[in-house]
Amino acid sequence: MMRSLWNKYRLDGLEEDIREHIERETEENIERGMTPDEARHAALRKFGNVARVQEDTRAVWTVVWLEQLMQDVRYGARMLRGNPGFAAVVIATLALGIGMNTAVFSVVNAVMFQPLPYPDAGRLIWLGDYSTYDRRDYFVPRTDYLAWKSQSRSFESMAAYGNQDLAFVSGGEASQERIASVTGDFWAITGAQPAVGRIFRPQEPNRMVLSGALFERRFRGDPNAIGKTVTLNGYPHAITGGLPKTFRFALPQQFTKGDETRNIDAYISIPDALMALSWSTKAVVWYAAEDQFGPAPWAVHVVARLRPGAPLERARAEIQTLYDRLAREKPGYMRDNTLLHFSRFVGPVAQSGVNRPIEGTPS
Amino acid sequence: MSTKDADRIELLQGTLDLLILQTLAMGHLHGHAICKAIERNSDDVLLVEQGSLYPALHRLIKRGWIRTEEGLSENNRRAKYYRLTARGRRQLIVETTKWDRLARAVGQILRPARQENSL
Repeated sequence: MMRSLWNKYRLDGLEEDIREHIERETEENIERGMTPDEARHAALRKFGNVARVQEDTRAVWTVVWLEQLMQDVRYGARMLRGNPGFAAVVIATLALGIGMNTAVFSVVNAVMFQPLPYPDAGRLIWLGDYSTYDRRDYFVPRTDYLAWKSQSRSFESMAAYGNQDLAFVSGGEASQERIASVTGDFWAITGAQPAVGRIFRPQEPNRMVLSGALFERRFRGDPNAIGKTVTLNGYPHAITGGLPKTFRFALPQQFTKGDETRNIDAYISIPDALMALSWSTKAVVWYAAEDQFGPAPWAVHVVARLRPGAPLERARAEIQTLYDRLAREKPGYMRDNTLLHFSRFVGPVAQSGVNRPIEGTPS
Repeated sequence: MSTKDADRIELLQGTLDLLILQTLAMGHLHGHAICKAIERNSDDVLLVEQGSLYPALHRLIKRGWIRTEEGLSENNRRAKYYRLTARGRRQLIVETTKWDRLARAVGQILRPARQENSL
């Protein structure tokens, strides 16, 4: 046990070591007269496949761990043979534990891996930036989404969204609610129909649609709530409608460590003016824009519905082409593919890696 | 840096360990510097895919032949340095001897033909 902890400690600095190594090589290449871009490319080529190197290095220690495990197993088996009463208790405990685990998994399986409760869920595709460096999904730069939405041909509809927890104040009563900001074809993709009132039109600013649950909790389902103005973090929003309780927000959500995914309580739109700000926009500009247009999520996630019969492979190639073009035209933050090893993930929503916590909020 | 990539020779399996031990015999170094030293000391003939250095380093740590220590680099950056242990120094002698024997044996097989031709 101590040994395996020690091994973990050994491997802890590995990513940093590799990053450091590549940086040194890059700096040397720059000194030799390459442009920073060429220098990093050359350094990475020379280093080889980072993911494979990490795996190979881990494997060096895993073998020890396996050998030790085998020793422990043999020792345990000897102990149990020598003490049948104890063995019976252990086996009963294990059986109960495994049984309960299986039961829980069956429930989780049913909840988490069932197809999305949206029309043509089989054609819903997740478009994300996956980092092979730290093996998780990142959000998509807003500029990429806009380019994909306007230029891709494989998809019949596309939507971007992000979630935030905001202070919801109505009638002098405040609560923290999880708000989804949506843009593009969000309503067509989810097929959501209001139970009361209407869905705000695309890009109609400062409007809000309540989830069935929030509508019940804060307004007891009273239709007179439609048209009322509430504030989100101080920004006024007029309620245009309420969704039926049967509608569930089932798309992946970004959340930070210690937090959890929960149901979305209300929906607002992301104003065009905010969508158009590129990811590399300075924070000052971003906050100024927020002051003007209201709260907006710093990250967007993208889902799209494939055209009937459109092959996923072609959609993948198309998104990559658009991404590459934009990367050439507008290099900037979050495009450091070579160092962070970003690759486009274009695949079934259920395979999205975004349902894992991120370490903290960005500065 | 004059040697073209095509003229470079890829390392034989297992030789990298020996080269790392030899390189560290001259003093403690960080990972990148080890690669550079191997390339430079072989007149840029040996091609080390730099990534393969890390599994090799960890293999050597596991065997107790080298150890790591934190240090500051030339430009005052924190860096991990690798240093030969006493066991590693002994191992270097063993490995070098093994290599010499191997090289001699292979050479003996290849050389007689060449000597006849040159006579």
